[in-house]
Amino acid sequence: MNKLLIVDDSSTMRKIIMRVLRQAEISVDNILEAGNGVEGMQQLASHPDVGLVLSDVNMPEMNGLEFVKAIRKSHAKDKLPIIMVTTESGQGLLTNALEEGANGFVCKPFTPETIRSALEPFVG
Amino acid sequence: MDDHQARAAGALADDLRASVQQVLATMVEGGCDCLGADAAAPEARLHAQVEFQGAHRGVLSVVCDESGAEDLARGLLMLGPDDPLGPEEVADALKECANMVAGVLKTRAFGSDGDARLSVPRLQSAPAPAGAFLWRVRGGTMAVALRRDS
Repeated sequence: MNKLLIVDDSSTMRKIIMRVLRQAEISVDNILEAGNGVEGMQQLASHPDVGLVLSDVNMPEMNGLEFVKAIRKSHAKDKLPIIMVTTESGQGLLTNALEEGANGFVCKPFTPETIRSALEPFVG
Repeated sequence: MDDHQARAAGALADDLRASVQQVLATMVEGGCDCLGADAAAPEARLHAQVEFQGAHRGVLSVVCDESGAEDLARGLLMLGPDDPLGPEEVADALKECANMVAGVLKTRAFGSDGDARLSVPRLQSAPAPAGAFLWRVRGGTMAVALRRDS
């Protein structure tokens, strides 16, 4: 995979995800970061070759569900895989996210194996 | 407090301990130990809170002294003792720890579809609440408490 975008308002969580991606031996050439959905949309506009998005749900300014909706409204991004990485595992929330167009979930706290399983269908 | 309320409070305390254990054991390099009630609470230098909103209102607090917060951040980020670590990274790590504990607790205590919403974590200057559970994380001490408002 060329580029992966991590969207989370916690810089700690973004670093943890990057570390776990390495532990899970998921090969990514370039990892981009954003602190909320607005910044995430800006990154996607600047980097149209992003191949996968990992997004938190509970974020200020534009939350994860709004971010997924905004991505799916963009015709160029209607097939971009999006995995939600969230502390909230409520069935209602997960269903909402899937309806908005998310492709999968990882619940925090997570292990490298959990991340690998969630990302495997989308990475080479 | 009647028997029913006492049992509910005990079950919630068990859920809180299990939630902290799950987060620290999964995410913090080096693991953690739950300390006894006679352990000294950390001096509150950093205090992260997450509010429970909706039907189950309350506040989850995670409190560390300076070295405890740094140890927690280094454990989460898998950093060695000499790796650079700034105060903003330490504060953010404490907030993220509180966020994860609150998320696990919400599911354990109120069910995956329970009417509880979590706020974005924030830092407070208040001391550790009474009745906090204490954990040894690497060399430091961390206190975790839940105040129920409903």
